[in-house]
Amino acid sequence: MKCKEFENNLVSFLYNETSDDMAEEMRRHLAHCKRCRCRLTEFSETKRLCEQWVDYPVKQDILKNMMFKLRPEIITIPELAEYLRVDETLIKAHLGIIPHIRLGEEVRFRKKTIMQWLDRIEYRPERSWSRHDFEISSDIFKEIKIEQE
Amino acid sequence: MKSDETLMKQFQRGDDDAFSELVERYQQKLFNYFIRHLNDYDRAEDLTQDLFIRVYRYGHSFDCEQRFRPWVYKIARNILRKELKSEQDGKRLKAKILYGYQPFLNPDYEIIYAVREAINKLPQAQKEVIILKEYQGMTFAEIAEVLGCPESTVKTRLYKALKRLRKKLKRFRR
Repeated sequence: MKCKEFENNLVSFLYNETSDDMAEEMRRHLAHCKRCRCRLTEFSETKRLCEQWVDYPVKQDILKNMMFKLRPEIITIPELAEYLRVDETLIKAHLGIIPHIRLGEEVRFRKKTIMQWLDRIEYRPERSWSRHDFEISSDIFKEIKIEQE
Repeated sequence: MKSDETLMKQFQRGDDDAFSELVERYQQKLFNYFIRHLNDYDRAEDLTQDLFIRVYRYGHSFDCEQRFRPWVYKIARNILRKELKSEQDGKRLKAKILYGYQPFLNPDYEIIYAVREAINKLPQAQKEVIILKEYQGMTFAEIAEVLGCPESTVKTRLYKALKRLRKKLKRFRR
């Protein structure tokens, strides 16, 4: 095997996607080619560094929110309770402040109005500990570390 | 464990639980697909949700003979491209800050920060290949299917991406 061929198959080798025969041939090449050995080490190191950027956790309950979006425009008390993750009785007790439609004994909500209402009542302090602060503070820590060095 | 394709088949017959199972399986990965491209937590969550809404609505058009993973990533890629285009058109403010509370979870935050920056600076074609390969764990064949290009192109792009990253991350190498 020539170096050029090794280089062509380097990424497949790195991610274990070469055939057994090819892998064997590449290992044989590595045994006597210092240059390719160095190259492989550098690439594996780079890959290892990339692996440190681990997955971010999902915070939202994507499924629940999505099902709410997929629901018809008009929803019932149990559906709203499920979305807000509260007990149905709480919804019934707060009908005085939740926009709703009353049809005889039945109560219905318009999804759109509920979303707007939620936006309106959401408490947003003027200065809060936001994700942005985390970013800034991580930069500060970085500076501190550099200073220490 | 049931295959993704079996779950899709069940979902097409009206089984919503099968759909939920698919969301459970893929939400984390797809969310990370978006966030690594956009560097914006909220938008990544919105797009993940949009994606599953599309799967829910158009799942009936999925041919159960084909593979689910490349199919869903093709949809994800379309959504992402549209989003990137609207970003370019200036319809949205480009998010420069990635909400980085990750550093707190990992003492090697400096490395993560550098890796993130280096990947973000790659040309889009190389960036998407490295994200699909390194972080989504797809095979070269699957990536080729998602991107609609030959496998050899995928490998070349990955090679170039790693080569660039190697230079950028030089100082962290042992």
